[in-house]
Formats: sequence, C-alpha cells, structure tokens
Amino acid sequence: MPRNAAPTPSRSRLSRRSFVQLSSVGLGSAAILAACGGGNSTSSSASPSTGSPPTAKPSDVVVGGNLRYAASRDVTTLDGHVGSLSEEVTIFAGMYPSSLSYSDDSQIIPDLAEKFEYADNVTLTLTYHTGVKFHDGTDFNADAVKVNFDRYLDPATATPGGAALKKKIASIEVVNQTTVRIKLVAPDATALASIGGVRMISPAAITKYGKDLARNVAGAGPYKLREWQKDDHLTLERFDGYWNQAKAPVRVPRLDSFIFKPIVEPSVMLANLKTRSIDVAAAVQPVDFDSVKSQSGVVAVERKPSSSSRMYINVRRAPTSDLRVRQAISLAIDREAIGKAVYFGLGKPAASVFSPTNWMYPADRPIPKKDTAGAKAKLSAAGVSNLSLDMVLPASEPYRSIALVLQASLAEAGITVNIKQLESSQFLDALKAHEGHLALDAIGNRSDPDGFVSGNYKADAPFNFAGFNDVQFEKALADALLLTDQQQRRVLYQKAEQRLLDEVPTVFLYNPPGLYAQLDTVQEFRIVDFVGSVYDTTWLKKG
Amino acid sequence: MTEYIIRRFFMMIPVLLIVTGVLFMLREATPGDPASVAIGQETELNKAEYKATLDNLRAKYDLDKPLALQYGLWVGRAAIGDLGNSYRSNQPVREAISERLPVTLELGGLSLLLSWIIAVPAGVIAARNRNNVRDLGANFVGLLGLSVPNIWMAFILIYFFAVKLQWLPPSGWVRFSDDPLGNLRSVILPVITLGTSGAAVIMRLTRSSLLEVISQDYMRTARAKGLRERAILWRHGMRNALIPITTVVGLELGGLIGGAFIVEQIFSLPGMGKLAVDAIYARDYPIVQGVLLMSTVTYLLANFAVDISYGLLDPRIRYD
Repeated sequence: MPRNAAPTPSRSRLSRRSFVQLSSVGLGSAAILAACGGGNSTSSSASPSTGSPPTAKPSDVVVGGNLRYAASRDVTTLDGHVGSLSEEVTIFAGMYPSSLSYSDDSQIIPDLAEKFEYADNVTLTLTYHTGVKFHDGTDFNADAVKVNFDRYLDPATATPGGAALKKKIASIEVVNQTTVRIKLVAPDATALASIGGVRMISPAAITKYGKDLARNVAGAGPYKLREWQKDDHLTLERFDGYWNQAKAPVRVPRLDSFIFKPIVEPSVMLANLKTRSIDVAAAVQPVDFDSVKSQSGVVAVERKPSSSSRMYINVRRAPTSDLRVRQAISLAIDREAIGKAVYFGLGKPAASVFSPTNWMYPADRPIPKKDTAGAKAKLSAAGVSNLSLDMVLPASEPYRSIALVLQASLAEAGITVNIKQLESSQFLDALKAHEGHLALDAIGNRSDPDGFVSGNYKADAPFNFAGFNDVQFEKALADALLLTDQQQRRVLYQKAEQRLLDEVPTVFLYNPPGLYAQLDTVQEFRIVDFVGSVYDTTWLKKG
Repeated sequence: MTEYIIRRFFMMIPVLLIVTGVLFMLREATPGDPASVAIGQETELNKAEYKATLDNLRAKYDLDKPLALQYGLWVGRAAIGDLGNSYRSNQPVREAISERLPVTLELGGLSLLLSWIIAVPAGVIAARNRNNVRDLGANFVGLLGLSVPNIWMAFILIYFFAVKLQWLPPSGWVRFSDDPLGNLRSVILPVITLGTSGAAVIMRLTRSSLLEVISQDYMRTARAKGLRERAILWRHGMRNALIPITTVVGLELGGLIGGAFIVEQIFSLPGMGKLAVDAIYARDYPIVQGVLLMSTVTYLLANFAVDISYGLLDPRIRYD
C-alpha cells in the first residue's frame, strides 16, 4: 500500500503530513497477516461513512459522463513509484493498481494479485490474475512484477519507500507467469502492506520513458492518462482494456473521463462546487463545513478522524529536559480549545498516539483536560518559574492557529511560548537539528500501529525532534514487528505507548476531521482509507 | 542608432550572467534542497539510510558536483536554448515556460491595457479639472484601486459575478485556441483585479505629468494660435507627458512575469507566477532559474523598448 503522505493544507508543496486533507493513505498491514486472501473477493460496495445514498440498482446506473474532481494542489509527478502526495495517491488509485488493496474496513484484499499467502513467516507468495493488460497494450505478468520491484527498490529511482522495503526483502523470485515468491529477511508485520502497495507500471513504458515516467502513465487501472496541463487540469479517460470490467453488474469503469483540477484557494473551490463547476471538492475547511452541509444539491461528508496532530518536546535541552517540566506542559494544554478554535467542533481531541481509525486506538481512554493548577505544581516541584520556550512549526494552517491556542493555555501556567514559524524546508531542518523546545507536527493515517510510533520517536530516526531514546520503547517496537498475532502485538504497543505517556517526549493534541463534499449527482464515489479516492464504480446521475 | 541598439544588446549579457550567477550562489545560503523536499518527512529510514537516500537523489540531480561546474554547465546549455528539466516532473524547463507564458502574457497584457484605459482618461480629467469635484472623484477612484488588496477584490468579484449572478466562471483557464469566448470569460475577473490596482499609479502619474506640461509656455502659445483644445491636449500635452508614464509602463511590463502570483493562485490560472513560487518551495532549481532568466530578459527588453520610444516621443533625444 502506498506510503502515507497527506500534504499541508497550505501552498507549500512539501509532502508534510496534513490532517485537514481527507484522502490520507497509510502504510503497514492490517493485523490479519495470517489470513490467506481467497478468491476474487470484491471490495464492499458500502458508501462513505455519511451522506451518500445507498448503491443504486443496476438498471439505474448511467454510464458515461465526466467527473470533475478538485483538490488543493496539483500532482508533481505521475511516476507511480515515486509519487507520494495524497493528491497523487488519489489519482494513482484509478491508474496504477498494485498487487493488493484495502477494503472499506481496512482489511487487506486482493487487487492485481488474486491470492496472497505466507508459506512460512518469511515467505510470501503472490498469485496474479491472468488476462491483465497495461494501458499500452502490453501484458501484465509475473515478469512485469519483478521488473517493477527491481525499479522500486533501486536506489537510483529514489522512491520514498524503496530503501525501507529493500532492507526487509531477501529475494524476489518469479515462479511462473502468474506467481511471484518473496522471501523476507525476518518476519515483519508491515511487509505485506508495503509489498502489496508497490504499483505496477508497464515494463515497456519503464524502458521507453525513463525519467519521463514522471509525465506518462502506463498502469493497469480502469483509467488512463489523456493529458496533463500542469496546474490547470489532468484528464484521465476510460481504459477499455481494463481487466476487472466484470466487477459489478454494470460495466466498470463507468465514467468517460475523470478530470482532476487543482484549486488552491478553499473558498474558490467551494464557489466552484456551488456553481456546479466541479463535482467533488476533496477538501473542505472546518469553518465552511456547516454552510456546505446546508447547500442544496450538495452532500457534505465527515469521515472518521484518521490523522493526528502532536507536539514534540525536546528532552535533550533545558528546561524541557526535566521530566516535570514536560509533564507540566502536558497538563497545561487545552485540547478542547483547539477543537473549538481551529476545527469548529469537528474531529476529536487526542489522548493517544494512535488515531481513531487504528485498531490500537483506546476508545475508552478519557481525554486529558486542561489542568493549570497541576501544571503550576509540577513547575514549582521542578524549581523553575517564568519559563520561556521556543516553538517551531511550519508557517501554514492549521499549525499557526494551533500554536496560538497552545501559547495561550501555556501562558496561564506561567510558560511563555515564542512562536517561530518556519518555511517548510527550514522546518524539516529544524526537526532534524532539534532546534527549539517544542515542535508542532502532524501525521496522516496508518494502517499498522508501527507507523504511528517509529518515524518520530525511535532513537535512530532522522526526524526524532525530541531526541527520545528509550530502551524499553525500542524493544517493544522491534518485538511487535516480528509477531503476527494481534493480541500479542497489542500488549507490546501498549507498552510502547506507555513509555511515551510516562516520559512525555510528545503530547498528543487532536485528531482532525476528514471533510469533503460532492454534488448529489455523483454516485458511488468513495474514499477508502489507505487507498485514496475510488472511482472505478463511480457514475453520474443525470439531472 | 544601430550602433546604440547593438551596444545595448551586448550589455544585456553581463547583466544576465550576474543575475543568474547570484541566484546560483544563493542556493548555498538557502536552507533545504530538492532532495530533502522530495523525500520529505515520510521515512522509515534510520539516519544512515536517510542520508544515503538523500545522497542518491542529489546525485540524480547533479547536485554533488562543484557549484562553479554546475553553473558553467547551466550557462553553456542555456546559451543553446537548453534550460534543463524540472526535477519533479522531468518536463523540459523551456516547455514548462512556453506552456505558461501565454497565460501570463495575456493576463498581464490585458491588465496593463485595462489600467491604461482607466488611468489615462482619469488622469487627464483630473489634470484638466484640477482641484474641483472631478479631480477629487478621479483621485478617489484611483486611490481605491490602489488601496484595495488584490485578494479582497478577487473574492468579491468571484462572489458577485460567479456565485451570485453566475455570469462568469469562478476560476480556471480556458485556452484561447480551444474556445476564444471561454478564454475571455475566464480572464475577465482576474484582469479587473489586477488592472484596477495598476491603474492608480498610472493615473496619478498621468495627472501630475500633464499638470506640469499644461503650465508650459508652448501650451499657451498653442492656445493663442487658436488650436482646438483637443489638439492641444493630445498633440502637444500628452506627447510630452507620456515620457515619465512610459518609464513606469516599462517597469510594469518587466514585472509581468511572475508578478501576478496571488491572482493566479486565487483564480487557478496556470501562469508563470505560480510556476515560480511552487518551484521555489520545492527547490526545483532548473525551473526557478529558467523563470528568473525569462523575467530578467523581459525587464531588459521592456526597458530597452522604452528607451527607444523616448526617441520617438521626444525629438530632442537622440542616441548617437
């Protein structure tokens, strides 16, 4: 499954995690590794969590038409192995399927691979469908799969996930024209999803285009590229040679074309929706959600919060090197105020490092409330007063607003926060260099719990701003990766999270809502966690 | 005159070299680089692997070579028209620029035209009716255009004309070659936004310049000769007043490239401004340099044209 990389909601291109954007995609396996994917299980035809009418009868489905989909930014590359922004992932879902996919309830299901099974805990066998063709007419088979993996893992291609996956794979073997056997270096709970998420590009196209794969598409998906006018529109058209046309009673794919339009300004995107110049608005700001909901002819959708915003606290630098100071900070902040001021009551305050869509999420854990008195007590126990701390954050929303809310609540406890907004590249540098005491950050959805904890808290992670280095924490994470039983892993991740709660190198702030809107004429358009926008069965009602 | 033209042309080259050279050096001073932007923060790698991935990517972009060599290579290729390829999409920079240039030129050109259409008559009215109601009125309109932020103007226009009245599309660009009428409809609101703010400066300048000319002796002579007021104004007055105005226009023409970024962003117009700003954030150096080169050349050419036009407007000015 593609890496999670939801972007910032602002103009910055950097593939930072945002959590106002809806189509977040995740990495990592669902903990049902032990299962064999059987047969041709179709993805469920469930509609998105709220708002959409139920699936219509086959006789009602109208084929044809053009769906106009607006996102906040343009894609930067069409290379299926390199693209990782959520906008790219959204389109790639329709153009470049991979071996495996996810169902609506985040179970790993077959896609190009009709079967997947572990012979033993380090040997994965993928059996592929026959009769699959790429957009350029060439055949998809096990040889093509090997070519794709070779390219994805090649350091020269510099894919975002390549280096990490390469570490885990010992060998890839073509058994016959429909079967590939992959041997892992060691058991790894996240390997199935990473492997299953490598997108398949036509080897002929790889050879033909070379670097120009960034501007050309030859996948096996239901839609192929017609044209890309950067910053203006990207048009996909129906691929008549799509292998899975028999998925539903009525022909799939159903649209004639899918037009992706970048519209950077949120209010302009809504103006377009209102005037029916677009069919789907991929991102709605919390402040606009109520007014969009009340518009006639428009369906506004609020998805379960799947991303999380957090603040890192530098444990290596005085005064935050003192545990009591960090505890004071954690007690002083007001999460509910963030919800009201920044998210207009949508989403939920965070009490856990895991987001609500993950199986590790502790649904019954109470949200910590602001406790100014407790914070002050901790500070005097630590023997400090009139603290002045530097907070670094990207110079965009929602970080700016969250920083202001935090500054206010920390001020009540006697802590002065100096807000330092940084341009996105500078912010990355600051994270790496541990510049400052506090850092605001966000992470998008992950299907495996490991994804929520390894990137920023492991001692050897480049972006470990806090400088956290805890033996018990590292051991729990390493052990959990080797296991497949969910109950056993749960115990370990609970241990890991407890270390974070005890040592406070981080504070969990909020789980923002995923908001999007569409016209009521759009049918069977779905956003599926870890896949992106699914539009192969989407059709447009007339009138 | 020919000698002057040739001399001016050759003087452009050192300017271009200095400008692009300084930009190259600025890379070192600016935090971040294309590789770390491309990899971003989504990494499961440990520190050593992260560094290795960064190094691979930098090698892919030729960033591991010495800066002077990189610059030399760039200049050499640019001289024969090869501006390199975008790091992100591998699109040739020349192609990226030539795709967006028509948009920016049309937007900028029409905005400038609108500025003129508003400003010059307003300035003339103001100058001729100095200090009475018409002057005040013209000044007010001019100042309004100057003070109202582009962003606010853009949103107000979209709200009224696109959302409420639905006369025009809220955003987006239609190519002239695809649909001339659609193109015009998509460009009206952005041009109004840009044109009204540009108008104020030209209006004030027209007014003051004309006021100065009107008080000259030769104007009195012309009137004494019995010429019609209109002939006096346009043949004698404006022709002289135009000189400072032309200077300003030259500067504004130069600023066309990349100058309309905010309007392009709001109206989703695929222009040079947005190309440049996105490339800067992504540290897509080939694109940034290509746009800077384009922008500098435009400034130089515009000012060159302005200097030549002085000779046409004022016979006293000669370039030999």
